[in-house]
Amino acid sequence: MRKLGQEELEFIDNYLKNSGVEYIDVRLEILDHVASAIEAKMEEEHIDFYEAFKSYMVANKKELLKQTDSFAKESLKKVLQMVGKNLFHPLSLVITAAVVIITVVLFDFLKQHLMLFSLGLFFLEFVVIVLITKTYKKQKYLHIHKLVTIITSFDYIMHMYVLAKEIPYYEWVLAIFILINISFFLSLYQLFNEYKKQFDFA
Amino acid sequence: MSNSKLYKGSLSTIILKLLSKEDKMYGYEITQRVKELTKGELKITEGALYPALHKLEADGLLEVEMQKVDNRLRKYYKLTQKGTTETVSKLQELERFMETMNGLMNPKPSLG
Repeated sequence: MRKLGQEELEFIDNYLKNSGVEYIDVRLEILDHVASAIEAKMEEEHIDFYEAFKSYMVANKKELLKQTDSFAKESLKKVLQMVGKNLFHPLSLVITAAVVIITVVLFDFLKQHLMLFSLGLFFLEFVVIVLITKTYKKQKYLHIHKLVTIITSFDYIMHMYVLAKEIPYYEWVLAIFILINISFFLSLYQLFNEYKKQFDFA
Repeated sequence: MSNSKLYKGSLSTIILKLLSKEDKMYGYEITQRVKELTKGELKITEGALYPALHKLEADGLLEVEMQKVDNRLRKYYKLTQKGTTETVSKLQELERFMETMNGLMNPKPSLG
């Protein structure tokens, strides 16, 4: 059976990208499926690549793209499970305890500069996210992208509506905020390693 | 999945059963194996197969392994320990279901 060449694979990859399959990890699996089906079609029907591609897409494109929604749903489930599990990671608990102790000690000073403190936290996290995401190639990976979206939305809301003003039980709210964030970053690190192992992108 | 909605509820069990017989399989290979085993009666579509595979993976029943094959990356699925245990229980469940259906479709004549 003739195997598809690099140029033909790139053609399929670009087609999928232009059809809205933006995440590389999702696209790679669909690409392999389409390529395998096209190779079999070329062999069975004695047709060339473009004919096989056209015929396959006419019959299967809708069904093929339908699965991208399910990828997103399962991804959300996966990352939330990871974050939930990491809330009880020893590192999450130790860092949270350390930050809260420091905050309690410095609280009289901090409460005069809460906006600055909250903004500082938000900025610090933004820098960490940028550093982490910059380390992999300029491709979008579904789970990483999903997790980063959740982190930034959560932190933005916390900064805008909660942490920038003096509220009752500030230290406890801060503790929960830090705990969730450490868990986010641990999950991001684990995902990064998982992708690195699978795709060797770093 | 084409042909019948009746198969839909058993898709995960079909996947787990196939993977219990092989070390690892990739998506297209699963569709072809099912087609071959059912002599073309059951055709699993991409829109049904991959969501099921990803759900099984997210539930910890499958793990993945990437391999470069024919100039492209291929994602192989294989059973985890949890998946192996789950396969046994799913197959027992399916067997009970088939027995029940059989009893309903072909009732034994009552002696009284």
